[in-house]
Amino acid sequence: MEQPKNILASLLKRNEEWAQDVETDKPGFFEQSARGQDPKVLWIGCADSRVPESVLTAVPPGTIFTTRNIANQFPLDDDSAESVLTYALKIGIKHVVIVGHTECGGAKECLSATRSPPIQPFPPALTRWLSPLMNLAEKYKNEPANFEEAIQLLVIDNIRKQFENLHQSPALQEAWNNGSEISIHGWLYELDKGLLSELFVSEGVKQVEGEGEAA
Amino acid sequence: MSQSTEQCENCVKPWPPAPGTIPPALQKLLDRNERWSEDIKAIGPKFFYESANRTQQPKVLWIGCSDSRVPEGVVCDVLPGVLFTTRNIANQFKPEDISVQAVLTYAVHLEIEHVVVVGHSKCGGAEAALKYVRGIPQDPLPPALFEWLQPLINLAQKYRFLPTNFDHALNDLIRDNIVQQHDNVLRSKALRNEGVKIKQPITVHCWLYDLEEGVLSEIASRFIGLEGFVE
Repeated sequence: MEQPKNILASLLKRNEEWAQDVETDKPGFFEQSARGQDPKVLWIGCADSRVPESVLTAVPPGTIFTTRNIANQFPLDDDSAESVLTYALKIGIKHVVIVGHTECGGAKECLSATRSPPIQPFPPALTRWLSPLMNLAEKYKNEPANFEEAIQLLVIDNIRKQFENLHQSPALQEAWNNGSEISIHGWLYELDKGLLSELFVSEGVKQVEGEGEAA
Repeated sequence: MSQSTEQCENCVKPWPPAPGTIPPALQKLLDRNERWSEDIKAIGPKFFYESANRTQQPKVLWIGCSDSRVPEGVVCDVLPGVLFTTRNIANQFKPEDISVQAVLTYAVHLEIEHVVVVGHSKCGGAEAALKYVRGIPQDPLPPALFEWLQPLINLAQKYRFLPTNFDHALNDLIRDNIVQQHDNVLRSKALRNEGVKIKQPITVHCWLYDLEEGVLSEIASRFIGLEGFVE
């Protein structure tokens, strides 16, 4: 890609060209878009630069309402996540996808830390944020011995945990209570293939894993 | 899994899709993803392999709004790997928000060179805040949202009466909001070499995305050297 020094200039230029292309291909798109948004999907994903939701699903702006943070967390008492979900429900979202991914840096840091505690602790801001993931990582302190295998399992456990946390969201509880039909899904993005797949989906109080394993 | 069933005993049951099916809106995303993945492989067979096997090396952190109309990678027309991204309601960077503080800390650790704080026209959060202070009727704000929007509501006080035109006031508020978040980023621990060391000079930028044109523009920026932000 472009030289790092000019990266912002190149982003602005690419944006300008993109805007022109869109206006040429779909005249009136932006004017229409500015009138309001009506996405049906909320994506709760990782801040990782390699997992941009609308690029990898090749959708136009206006499709996916999005929040992204380190290691795709939906913590139980997080104002940021809860306000996003609240707003998403208010504007008529029908599906919530919590999306984890392979090679997750947050998961790797946590697993490394449990297996060989670092000389330098994480900065406090990261320690606090990653503490739920650290707890999950404890389970894989010794087994499986292979780090890569353990990371795969931890990434999936993490998605499952956020999926479970979502069930407890006051906003979602209220929506279901009012009869709103909102489904929630746990997805995995495999970086080495560029592919999304569904792992978990809401079904009553049982979670059914996509591979066919019943709860 | 039974653990979660017990937790859910008092919870309202979620709505499940019909057994064995994926809702159409989601199936569309999965189908498009599959095609996209093939398209990328056709152009650059090594892209995904390399992306997965190297740690990410983005140069830019995007702090933006959750609004579905502002997907950073599409708007900047870049491939995965370029923009480290956090998005929340009204692109907030609050000092007490552990979510964004963790993102910025990790970004500095990744040796990001630029932080862009990106607000946009027609921001629903800003609009709700302005309507609230002007007493303009709107659907009641759920408590979680009302709490989240407090900094914006405080900023909006300045625009209670002037400009009289709502849209002009909204645009001014949106700009003020971007600048405030930019200032919050400058004052964060991460940019003062507290907890994480700045190894790479960083510039923090205020960007505005004009929804009606699809165009990004820079309002202001501030350079931070290795010594970190100094007032």
